[in-house]
Amino acid sequence: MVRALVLALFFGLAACSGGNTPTTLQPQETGSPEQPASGEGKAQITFFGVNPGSGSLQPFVGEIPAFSSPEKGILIMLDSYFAMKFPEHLVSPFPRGLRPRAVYFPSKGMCVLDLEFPEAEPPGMGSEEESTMVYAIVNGVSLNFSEARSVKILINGREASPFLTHLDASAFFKPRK
Amino acid sequence: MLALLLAFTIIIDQAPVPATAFPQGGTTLIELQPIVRELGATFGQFELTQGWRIEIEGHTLVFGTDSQFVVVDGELKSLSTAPVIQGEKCFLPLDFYDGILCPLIGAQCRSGTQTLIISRRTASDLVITGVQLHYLTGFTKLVIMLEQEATYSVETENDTVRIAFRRPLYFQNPLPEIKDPLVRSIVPGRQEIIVQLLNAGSNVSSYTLQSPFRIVLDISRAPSRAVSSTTPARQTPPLSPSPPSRFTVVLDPGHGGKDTGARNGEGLTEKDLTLRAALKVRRILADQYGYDVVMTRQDDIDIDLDERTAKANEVRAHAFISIHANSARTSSAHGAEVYYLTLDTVDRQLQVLAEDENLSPTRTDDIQFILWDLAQSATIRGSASLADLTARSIADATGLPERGVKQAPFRVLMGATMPAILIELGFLTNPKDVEMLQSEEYLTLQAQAVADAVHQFQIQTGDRWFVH
Repeated sequence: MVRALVLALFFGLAACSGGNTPTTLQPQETGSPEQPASGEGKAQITFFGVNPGSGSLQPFVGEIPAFSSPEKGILIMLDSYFAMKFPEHLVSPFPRGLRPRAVYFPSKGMCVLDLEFPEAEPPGMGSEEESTMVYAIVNGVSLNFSEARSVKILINGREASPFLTHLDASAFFKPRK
Repeated sequence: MLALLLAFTIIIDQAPVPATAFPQGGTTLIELQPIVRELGATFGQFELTQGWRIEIEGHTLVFGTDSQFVVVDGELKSLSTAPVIQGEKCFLPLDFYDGILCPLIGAQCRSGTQTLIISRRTASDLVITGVQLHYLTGFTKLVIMLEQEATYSVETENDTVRIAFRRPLYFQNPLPEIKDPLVRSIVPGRQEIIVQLLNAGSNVSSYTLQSPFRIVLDISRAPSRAVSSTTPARQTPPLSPSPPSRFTVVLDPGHGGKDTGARNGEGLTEKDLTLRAALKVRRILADQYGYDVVMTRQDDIDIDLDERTAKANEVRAHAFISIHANSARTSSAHGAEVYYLTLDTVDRQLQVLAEDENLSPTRTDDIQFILWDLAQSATIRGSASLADLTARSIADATGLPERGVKQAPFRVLMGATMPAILIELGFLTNPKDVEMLQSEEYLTLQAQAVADAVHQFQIQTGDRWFVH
């Protein structure tokens, strides 16, 4: 819960709820999502959806089943994230059919996500839509799992894909507000 | 069997190695021991199984004399024919050396009917990191990527192009499979690359690109005259290339070909819209302001993102403008936006490694990297200025609220050595924007606004951002 609150603060939820606007909030590394106490079987995760009014990403808290390693946790989180029903006031940033294939850490702090998009035809995104999708993933993974300081996204095992036609697909992305 | 022994030449790291060979079943079997000994491997036989074991550079290879398989680090690889033992000598087929052993130790292996040449990378080698072949409309672009800048010459005679270097070459990756209407083959040599053309007398021109250093050959069919020509040898680019005589703008209509970009579900595609808009901007820049304008594409064709800025670098443009149309997950987002490059939101492997391993960036590669970053910083200031002028100009012309200038790590803007921006004309997911973008008058209004901003930029900066 502590981590979810820190993330919410980072993304300005506190400002929305009234009071003074925080000025220099930074994400804090508080470790992977709090593992449940024995028997609970759930971990809290902060997800991001698109605010239809502003178009910006907005965080919300959800739960995923408990996991044994960051790799497994990220896989479980993304499985849930891509297929979930978003809260009524938010829109999913992901095209239908997107699934996680693999997660690995080639170097300390650097996480590679290999995602699968089964349709032959790419979804045809503009840069805003592409950025929203990428940063919903990057923020979700990086801010929930401190082991993933930066995140690279492969689609169907490849860097250059028709999925990512604007942003630099070779980059390791850091979370963005 | 001895009567069949071949006169076979084996050269390892430029030194001849005495070894014997003989033909069998369409391949050549070559004596193993002298080769692995020269390569610094240990070699032995299992007493019980009579199998053989090679330990080389941390890898283990195991094989038997009655099997067409070799176990490489626990993985099974097949051979064209089983190894043969003659007395104390062990013979393995040629494909073991060029297909298994050399790739395993990162050595280059070239073989002919009577030769086997194995070369390991040395400090003086010039590293070719890759060779790419692209067939574009009417011509072929051959790109040779190098780890560092190099002196080279290009000579064309009949159907052969010889790219010669002063230092031995080391090919880090396999050469591409050739399926090209103008190029028959690419043959790597020790200090040269030979390109065999399908048509004698094709036109061949070469130039270089930086960051990373690339030698580019444009190959096109010659007009119907079959003459042999020798193009003068070209060296690395001059240190201070003269800037173009007139203010030059490269316009890049986003996407193209199979890459449609954003779509609105009613047939409107980003690639078509960006081309229409870019052609309008070109006309205004050329006719009204008298600038030189180069388009990255004028038709519905696929172009690599890297090639787009490479084109701008090649013509030493003063500004690079990539034109796009946007889409969002919701229909409420609308209006034009202007972007320029930021690298803040991405991690560079070097930075991460430096943090993790406490490394100091002192290697030549790292210094090159830092210099590249500094150059990027300089052009980013120019980009910010051009982006600001463009955003204001579009807002003034259209009367729409200014969505502001933004920064993003757009691939198409990376590598540009001049101010470079990306314009999003509007959202294909917003009905009002679509209605406006489909109108010729509105698109002309936006094109005029972009051209006016470029002109303002030229007045304000002149050649100040020309950093080539």
